[in-house]
Amino acid sequence: MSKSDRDIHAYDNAMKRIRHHRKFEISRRQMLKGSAAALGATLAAQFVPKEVHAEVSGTIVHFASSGKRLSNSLRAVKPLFDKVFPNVELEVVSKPMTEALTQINTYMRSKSDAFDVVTQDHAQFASLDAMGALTNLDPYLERDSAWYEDYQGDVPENYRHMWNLPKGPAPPGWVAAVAPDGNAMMTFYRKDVFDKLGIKVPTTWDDVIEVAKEIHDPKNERYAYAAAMARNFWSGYQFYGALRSWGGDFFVDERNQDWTPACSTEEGFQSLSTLVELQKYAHPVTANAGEDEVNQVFANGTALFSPLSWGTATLNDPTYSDYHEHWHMELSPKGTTPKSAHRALAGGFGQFMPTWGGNRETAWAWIKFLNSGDREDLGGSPLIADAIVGAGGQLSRVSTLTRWADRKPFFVGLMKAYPVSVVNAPVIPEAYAIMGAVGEEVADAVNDDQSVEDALKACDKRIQRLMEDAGYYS
Amino acid sequence: MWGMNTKQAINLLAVVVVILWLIPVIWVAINSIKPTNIINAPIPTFYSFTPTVEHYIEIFDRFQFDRAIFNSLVTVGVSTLIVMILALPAAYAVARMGLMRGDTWALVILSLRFMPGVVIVLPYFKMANWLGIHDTQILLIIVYVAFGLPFAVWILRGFLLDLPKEVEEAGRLDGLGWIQIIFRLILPMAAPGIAVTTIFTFVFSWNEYLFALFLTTSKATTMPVALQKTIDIYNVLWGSLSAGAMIQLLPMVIVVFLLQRHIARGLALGAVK
Repeated sequence: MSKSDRDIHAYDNAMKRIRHHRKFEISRRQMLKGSAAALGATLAAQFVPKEVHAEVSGTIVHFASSGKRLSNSLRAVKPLFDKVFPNVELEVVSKPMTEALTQINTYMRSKSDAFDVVTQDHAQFASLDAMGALTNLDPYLERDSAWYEDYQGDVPENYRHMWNLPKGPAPPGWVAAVAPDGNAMMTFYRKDVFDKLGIKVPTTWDDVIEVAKEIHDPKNERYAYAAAMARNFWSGYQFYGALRSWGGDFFVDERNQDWTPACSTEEGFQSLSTLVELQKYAHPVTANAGEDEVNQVFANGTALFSPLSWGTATLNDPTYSDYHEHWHMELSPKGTTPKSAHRALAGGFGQFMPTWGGNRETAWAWIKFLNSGDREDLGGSPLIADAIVGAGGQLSRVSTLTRWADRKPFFVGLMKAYPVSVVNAPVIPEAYAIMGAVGEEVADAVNDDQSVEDALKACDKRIQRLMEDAGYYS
Repeated sequence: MWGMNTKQAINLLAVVVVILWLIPVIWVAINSIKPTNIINAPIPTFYSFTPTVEHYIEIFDRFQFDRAIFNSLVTVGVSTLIVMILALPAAYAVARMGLMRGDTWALVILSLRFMPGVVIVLPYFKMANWLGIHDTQILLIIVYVAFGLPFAVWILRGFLLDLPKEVEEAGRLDGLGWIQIIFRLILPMAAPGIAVTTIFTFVFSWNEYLFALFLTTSKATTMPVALQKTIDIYNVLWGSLSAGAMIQLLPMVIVVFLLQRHIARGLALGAVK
């Protein structure tokens, strides 16, 4: 028996056992337990394509970072795609998540033709643009206007526009990537604990401190707060998330290219002071944590709350945490000044066609299929999104998030975050270096190694230096 | 100390050191059979859980570990074989054949090994693309031979210098040529040294990450790279990572177990004593 036959057989048997009370739906636990290939095979068995495109052919190679959310969700869709495009040979290749940024930089700097489609983090977007690696997708979107209209109607505008170029005073420009995947920084909280204590999810930073005081119980190994505060880009993101919610930014006016650093402001002071105050209620892991360490202490029940965490389906995974049903997500808090507002740092992964890739038509057919909604007349199917979600993906289409919301509380937070999303960093190639430099100063302040004022001045100084070196002021 | 003589104290110290070395391995082994939510528990448990093989299934199912194992065995096996075939005559030439400035040459050969891999991995990447051999086992074999050979020559030279010259001279008087001397006389005498060098060469390539990361994409990916893929975005799949680590450890344990007699002798002789 071939591997795919085994997968189908195994999954069919599993399906018989795990039919959910809702017709045609698989239980969350079983979805998450199945492998991407087996899940895809099972869904493919149910999938009856409206049209088969035998005229489209060729080989396409799709690069994505490894992991459930990215490469695995692509692999889960592949069996469905194979049914619609039987003459296309699709290969999904991946590199370790931790190395994916440098790897794709290496390939694109070398003008490599190894990949026809690439899934990449938004953090990389400006660098890829600077390399000339991004293809203008407008001609494809204009040709498939009905499909694009459906996509536009389902993916919130400010999230979609993150993937447009050029950045600057005249958006939205042209579309460089489409994004089935979406993410944002949100408030994470243990609903059972909040309900038991009668606490509401805080909506302002002042409330955050009050809530932290109330739920902090270190004697019983239950810490109020955890956040990715490692002394690098992680703490940079924490500060930037807070800064945007107070109405501040790293620069005076990025959109009009006024690159004067603006951390040492009232907004910056409020943001960093709050993070310093919160540290009193922090889980010990916080000072040196990336998101993986934070999620682990959320999963094991020793941390209860975070006002700013990057969204992930992991915490709603029953195999990962005993508290999977209790982790809920909401909009991050805002400041209390007139410029303050709920602003969710948005990230996520977009799909683009590298300038040096080939098989454009076939690659576009695959991108379109992956980003399809539920409408079968446009080549879509709910099973495509189910395959992605079941494999661990998180989507940008609101219709899919809605359909899955009762089974994934994380998606509820995501839906609330998209309409108020802002780009997670300045869209310049230096953004990552700036985030790292700021993060170091922020971490020093949070760990009492320098004052808030000194840290903010140091942030401005380091940003200025990085921008000078990159030639922005000449 | 506590009524022990020196020998007993040293033995006790050795046992403590061995336990300290083994704890991480045992920890990984246990994690590889723990359910994920138990791994994530705030207080680790070592026995009160129901063992599971789900991580071993997952490592093959989700991370294509079968392909990675095959690639590792082929690239490392073939490159180690080639290194040893080339290193023995080269080491003999440097040690015994009166090569002018033999010691200097030996140092020059070893210095090739000093070069940090990260310096040359990008040129290798560009050349491999240009030659159309990127993501092939042949490319990794070439690189592992290039990097493993200097080290193997240096170690073997040390072993060969320790062998008695009289045996070779007797062989020469009996009419043996260089090749015959190497394979009929030197090879049996240097077996422990060859075993140790083989293991070192094998271990270097088996655990090598940087070249495998840059020079492969999917078809020739080796185990260390496949293992790194278990670090997911925003969480580490500790169970899968541990299961993969145990699988990667297994061949090394087998090789060392089979060659332990030679290793003990080899370490007591030659360049690494």
